[in-house]
Amino acid sequence: MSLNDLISREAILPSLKAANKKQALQDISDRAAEVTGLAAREIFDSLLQRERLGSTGIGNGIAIPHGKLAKCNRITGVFARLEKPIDFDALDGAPVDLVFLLLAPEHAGADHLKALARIARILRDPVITTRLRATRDADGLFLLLTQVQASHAA
Amino acid sequence: MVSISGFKKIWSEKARQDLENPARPYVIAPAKWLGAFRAGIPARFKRSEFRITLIAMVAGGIAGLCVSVMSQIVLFAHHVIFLVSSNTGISGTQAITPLRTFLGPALGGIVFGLSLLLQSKWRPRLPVDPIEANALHGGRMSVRDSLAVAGQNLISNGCGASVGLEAGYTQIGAGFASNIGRYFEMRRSDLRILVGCGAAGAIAAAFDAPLAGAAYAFELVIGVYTIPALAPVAVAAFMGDMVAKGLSHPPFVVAVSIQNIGFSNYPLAVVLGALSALVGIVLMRLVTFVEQSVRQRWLPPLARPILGGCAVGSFGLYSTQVLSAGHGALHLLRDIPQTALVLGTILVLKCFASAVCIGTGFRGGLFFASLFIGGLLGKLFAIGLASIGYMPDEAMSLFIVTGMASLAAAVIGAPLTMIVLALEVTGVLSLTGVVMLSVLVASLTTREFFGYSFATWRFHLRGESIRSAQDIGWIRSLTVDTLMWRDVPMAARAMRLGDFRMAFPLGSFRQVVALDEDQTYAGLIDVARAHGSELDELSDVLVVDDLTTLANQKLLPKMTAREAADAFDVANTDLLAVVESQDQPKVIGLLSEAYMLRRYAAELERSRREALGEAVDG
Repeated sequence: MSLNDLISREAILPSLKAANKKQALQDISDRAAEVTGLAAREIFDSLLQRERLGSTGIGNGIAIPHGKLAKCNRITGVFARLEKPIDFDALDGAPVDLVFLLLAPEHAGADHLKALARIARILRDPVITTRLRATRDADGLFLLLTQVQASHAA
Repeated sequence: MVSISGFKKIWSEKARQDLENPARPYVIAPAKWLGAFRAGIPARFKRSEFRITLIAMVAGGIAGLCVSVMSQIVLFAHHVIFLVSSNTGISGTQAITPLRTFLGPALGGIVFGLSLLLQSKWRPRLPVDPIEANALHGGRMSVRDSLAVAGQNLISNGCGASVGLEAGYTQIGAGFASNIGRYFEMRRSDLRILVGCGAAGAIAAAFDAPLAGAAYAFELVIGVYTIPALAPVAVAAFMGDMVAKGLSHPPFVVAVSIQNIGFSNYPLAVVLGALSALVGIVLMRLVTFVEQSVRQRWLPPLARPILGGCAVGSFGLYSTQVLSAGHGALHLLRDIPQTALVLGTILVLKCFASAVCIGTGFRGGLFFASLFIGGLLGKLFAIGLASIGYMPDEAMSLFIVTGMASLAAAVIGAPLTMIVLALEVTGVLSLTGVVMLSVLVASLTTREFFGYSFATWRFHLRGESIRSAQDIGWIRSLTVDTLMWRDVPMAARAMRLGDFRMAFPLGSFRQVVALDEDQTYAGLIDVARAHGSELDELSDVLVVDDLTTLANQKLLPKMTAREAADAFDVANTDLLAVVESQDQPKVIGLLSEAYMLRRYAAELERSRREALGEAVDG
């Protein structure tokens, strides 16, 4: 699965201002709702429910919140670069400033896990995260994410 | 000493147990010597065909005895209520006063209503009849229920309600046979045959027709003919007939005098067969119509038979031929001169009387009513032919018998039984071709355009999918809770993937059940997928919930194998969790489609072999 299939230019939030984890998730849910046509509340609730089971902050300032929704018909991602890092209860305790939200249909099964694994592999590369943190416009971030994916695939 | 309240408590406890287990065994208290005989049976003899034949002989004899006793009770009742002194019964006697004609069925309705009241208190469940017992319960019947049915059948027929006694005869014969079989710990397949033996003995005794009794058992009660079942069924029919004869049970004879049957009668038999099917279908639908019409909130169930009794009493004022089963009327049918209008009116009234009686709750069947209505139709047919100039000597007798057999075949759904019955009760073999042709047309037409016999139609209306007595009980008993594995590996939804991998190493299980915080079902986790190398980097981040699938697909314990197969199909998976109920999704087991299909195939093969009379282990 290519990251191109997961994310679109409209699904990038280049400078999200959020005071805490809840607000960040709320704002990203709103954008995900615009991209997918699903209800923002439903997305937010599913993300919160998942976070209750354990934080999706994977360390090094990165989080991959995700959820499964019955009405969602394709795996969709939303990327946010936060202006100011926030506490995300991450594994290493470090504040998070790069968030990749992933929504999947309830029956996505292995595809959902493969997408998560791919995103995690890309965002754990320090070269890529440095570039992502340095880029402030949506086009640049989109290009970076999709090109990086292509180079990783090669 | 048990007080009245204590006695009631015991009764209500028994009623509760009966409701929970409709086919709970009722074993007749055994005599000591019988117990010793049972204990001393060598293992080889236990599976011998001789053994079941000997037991069938006893069952057939008991059925014959019951038929004789019941018919004597009815004759006595007819004598007391209607002052009928001869064996022609009510329907064959013209000299019954209008008051008695009306009051007999009306008072019968009151007594029957009271019997329903007692039944609803003491036996608040539908009794299992022989067809249902063999189709669903492996031949298990209750003697008490059978006695209750027979008693109510006696009240119905005895007071002149337009129902036959055959349902009561077969119920009591089969009920005793079933319990004798269970006392001797007979296998399911043998018990089913024995239920057929009881019914065979009863029908043979009722009509002095052992072949018809045996055919009835095979066609209706056992559902299939097999050579190993022939000896027990035929012996039971023979014994039933012998015992009834020995006890001076009045023989059932339809007098006909036919020398030669012309070829021109064969196409006419086809027409009569089709007409019989039509009348039969109307009759069956009429019963349902009446039943639904009287099922009104303002009319309590106990009042319905009173209403039915008054209606039948009123019909009886036109002609007593519509009362009771119609034995006497059928005997006299050939010899009484009647116009087509009178015959037609009696035919319509008899149809209504039978439908009203059964529809308002009287106990009994349409076996004899359909024979009589068929006889009326045959006579009407012959009169119609005479009016257009076709009047050979044999026409009247021939078409009465042919109509009798054809209409009964259409309603009862037992064509071979009716062909044989027509031959046995007339003793005229030259009828064979015409009767057979007409019966087959009636049977075929009914099956094609209606699809049910009266018995299966009633099951259909009750929501039961029984189309014959063939054993489908095993399919229903093969439920998910009897097939599932109860030792289920489980993990909490919030468990981290790394911890899950340690708890369930690759190869330990195929699937693990994910549980919610409240210990309810949350989905299934594929252990191999959880160990996939692409998830290594996420083992500290992912939780069991991320890996779950089929969170909304689950099985319920009472689902049959067929329903479970559909569920596997819909979920497109080969393993599903079993939960207590939809409202309480507590996991109680796991079931794989492959295992379920293996068991289903094994049971199917076992059932097929049993049906063919082949030896089956266990």
